[in-house]
Amino acid sequence: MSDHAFDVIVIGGGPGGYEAALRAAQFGMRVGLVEREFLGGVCLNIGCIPTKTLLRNAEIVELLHRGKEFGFSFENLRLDYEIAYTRSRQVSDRLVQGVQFLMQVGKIDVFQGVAKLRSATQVDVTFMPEATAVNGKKFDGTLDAKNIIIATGARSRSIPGVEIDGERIITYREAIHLRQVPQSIAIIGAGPIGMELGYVFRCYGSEVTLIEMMPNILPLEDEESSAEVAKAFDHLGIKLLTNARVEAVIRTGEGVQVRANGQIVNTEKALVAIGFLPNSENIGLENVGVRVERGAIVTDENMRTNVPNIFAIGDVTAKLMLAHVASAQGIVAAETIAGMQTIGLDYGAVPRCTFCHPQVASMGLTEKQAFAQGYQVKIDRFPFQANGKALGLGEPDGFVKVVSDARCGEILGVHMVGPDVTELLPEYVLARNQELTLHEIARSIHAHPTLSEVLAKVADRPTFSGGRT
Amino acid sequence: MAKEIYIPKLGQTMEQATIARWLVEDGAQVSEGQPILEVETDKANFGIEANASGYLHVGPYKKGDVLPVLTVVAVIGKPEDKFDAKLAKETKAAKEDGETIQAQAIAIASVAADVGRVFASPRARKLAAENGVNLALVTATGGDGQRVVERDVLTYLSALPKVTPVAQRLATVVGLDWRTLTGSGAQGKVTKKDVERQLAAPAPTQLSGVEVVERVPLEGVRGIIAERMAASAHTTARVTLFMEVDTTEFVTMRERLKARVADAWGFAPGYSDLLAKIVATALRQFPYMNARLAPDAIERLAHINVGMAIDTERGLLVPVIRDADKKNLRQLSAEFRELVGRARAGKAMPDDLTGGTFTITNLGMHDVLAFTPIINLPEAAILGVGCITPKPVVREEQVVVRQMLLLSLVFDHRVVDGAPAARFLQHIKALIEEPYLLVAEMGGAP
Repeated sequence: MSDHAFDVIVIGGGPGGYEAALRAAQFGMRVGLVEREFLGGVCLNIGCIPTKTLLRNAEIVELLHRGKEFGFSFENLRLDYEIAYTRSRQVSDRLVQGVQFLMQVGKIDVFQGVAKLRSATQVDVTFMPEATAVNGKKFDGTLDAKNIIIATGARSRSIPGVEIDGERIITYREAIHLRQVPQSIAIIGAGPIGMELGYVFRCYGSEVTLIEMMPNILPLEDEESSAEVAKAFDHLGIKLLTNARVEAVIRTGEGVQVRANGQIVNTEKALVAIGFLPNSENIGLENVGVRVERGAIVTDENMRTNVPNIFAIGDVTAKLMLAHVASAQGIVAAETIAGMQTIGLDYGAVPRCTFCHPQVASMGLTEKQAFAQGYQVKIDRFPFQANGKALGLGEPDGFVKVVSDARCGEILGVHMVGPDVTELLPEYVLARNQELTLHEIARSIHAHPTLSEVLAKVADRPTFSGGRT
Repeated sequence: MAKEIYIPKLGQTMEQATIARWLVEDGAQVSEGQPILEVETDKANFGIEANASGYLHVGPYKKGDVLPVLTVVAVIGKPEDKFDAKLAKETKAAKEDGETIQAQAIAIASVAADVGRVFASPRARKLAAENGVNLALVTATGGDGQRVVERDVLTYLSALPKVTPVAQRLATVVGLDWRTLTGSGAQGKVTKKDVERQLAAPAPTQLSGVEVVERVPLEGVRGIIAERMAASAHTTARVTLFMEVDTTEFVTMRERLKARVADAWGFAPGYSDLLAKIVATALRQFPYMNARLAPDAIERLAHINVGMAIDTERGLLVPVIRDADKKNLRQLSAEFRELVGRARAGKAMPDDLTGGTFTITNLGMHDVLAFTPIINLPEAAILGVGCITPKPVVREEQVVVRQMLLLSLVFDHRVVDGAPAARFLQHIKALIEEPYLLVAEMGGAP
């Protein structure tokens, strides 16, 4: 085999691409990975990981402001956001180095460059000297591949007519690299990114206005979750504008002006966080006839495109644009290529997390969606208010709500708001995956006193029908 | 003391039988050797004879009851004797009269069927009772394989089909037995999807209301034929090869053989016998045709057992000539005659009709020219034989009349490819056209 012939070429080194590459290498295949910007992708470098670091800082700041309640006091409390920023970079760098190390261990050839399909079995690579965070081979030329996995991710979507200048009108890319929080910021889009960054900036003193086109913040979540978080954000002093379609974002003398639904918001900066577009252009898909619909690459449940040896995973498929979905899809693709038995994803069992405070965690259908799909919907709720551990933590807000099918007990959706709920969700993901009902959860003993007791309590509701088996 | 009548185990694979009919009434006098009961297996009907003279006392069994082998069904004794109800629950252990009964098979079956006699630890019994497990079905590992212990029950339970709680509840709601479903989840677990798939499956078609004069129930041989034929037609990748064969020499050979050996053998060898011999010989040359399809492999088989489709009153039966390649013509023909005799009389042993590796079906006697038979699963191919007809053919640029035959070889393309199957058929053709070649390929007698 020549130096430039591979069993699998992975295009994109994000959480989908590097997991797929590793899994393929574990099956003994010769794997090459082409990355144009940074190993670990948006997630590790400018997405999930650095924000989680900043959020930890923000939570501590919020707690410090509750000193009176807990009985401690201090003078001259100074918050240094730059140190929070530096910490976020350190954590990110460490993980990116970890991925580089994993690539070495897996004997994966990493190419530092831009990839483009020349044919169904050939990938052209153009070296990118400035992409040092890839730390890959300097190579210009064509690689041969028996199989190709496209994991090129997605990029921020903008509002028609609004120009992102990267200075005052920014996206998450610039926001994550701010050394100081803006005095005031208008965040357009109250999805997870807008909510998390809004929370961080507010804790560090920004005047934050969240502008959402839909009737609720976190519009993809169950309405009860949205309402619970709206209450907490309101308490924090974050202004929420819902049902507000943005008409214009204009640079003014000092800052920006956002016009939405007749209202005018003047701030130092505006952050556009209304969603993502798949990166399906300029990678040569048209050269081989890979099918694309509304910008997203179309695949079957094994992540295979219409070209049999080309696979696509992650945000570029626009199924559910989440890092863990990309990783899971990458494993399915690698197993399929290796001819192993694999199981396609159940998108109804994918965890979704928003890490603002209070945290929001969910899976599957909302109450409304379940009704709309014609299920005999059964709703169970339990509040953290009645949980000893939550009260001890001083975190009594929030609840766990389960949407299930009254007919056969199938768990259709779970919606949680409250302390560490992102860590509580997996029990319900496992339950959904293994088709357990609330009965099995209720009968698994949960330690006392823990937050997890809420998961059993919500499940333990004897009912007049179907309660006995 | 009263003699017990039980359902004998007449073959390795026989595990149960259905009562077809009682030939003698309860309480009647019978003499030893008199047929008293007819039972039916999935392969054939056979009679059970009285093993003593006396009065027959019949157990609580009627037509249609399915009973495990070795179940005691009646006793023969004095007029005042009675069929002991306890016997109805018991089955017979190994019997002294071992003529048709294979001792080993009985030993296994008697343990399996005799629940009351299973030795088991208290914990094993408790666990079995909680889970509704029949201890007789559990493989014992305690006490030198004699005693069922708790871990044996656990092993048994872990091997049972699994179901997710959601699928189980859905199946209950819609009134479906999930045990009948094929699980698509991890380790074959039945999931909600499997239940839904079953629900979505089309319901059996309603037949329109036309007038029916007779209903032949799809049971016994008829039921088996319907099931096997449909399974074969739906699952095999059938290809048919036709080949015309000049049988002039073959016909001559058969006529001369008939004249020479009929008196000594007591019968004249027929075309079917000769064809069976030829096919068995060819199968030895082409072992890839003597094969079957397992779920994960094509298995070539050690023995050449040629099945011969025959027409009987109850329908199509396929008696099997075991190791046909190793038998000489006389042995093979004699055995085939016996098999046909038993099958036509409804007295075929289950083993007469199982274990085939290749089937020949001949409709030549009904003037059929050629046809495309259904492969007898799990075999790889079947040879259809038409009628021998005098036909004008060209030999050395002259039109001459020869005795011609059309052979049709139907094979499963999943197991064999077209060219190899054609070579096999060419070899059969060569052996028919030049039958003296058989001598060159003759195997030693056993």
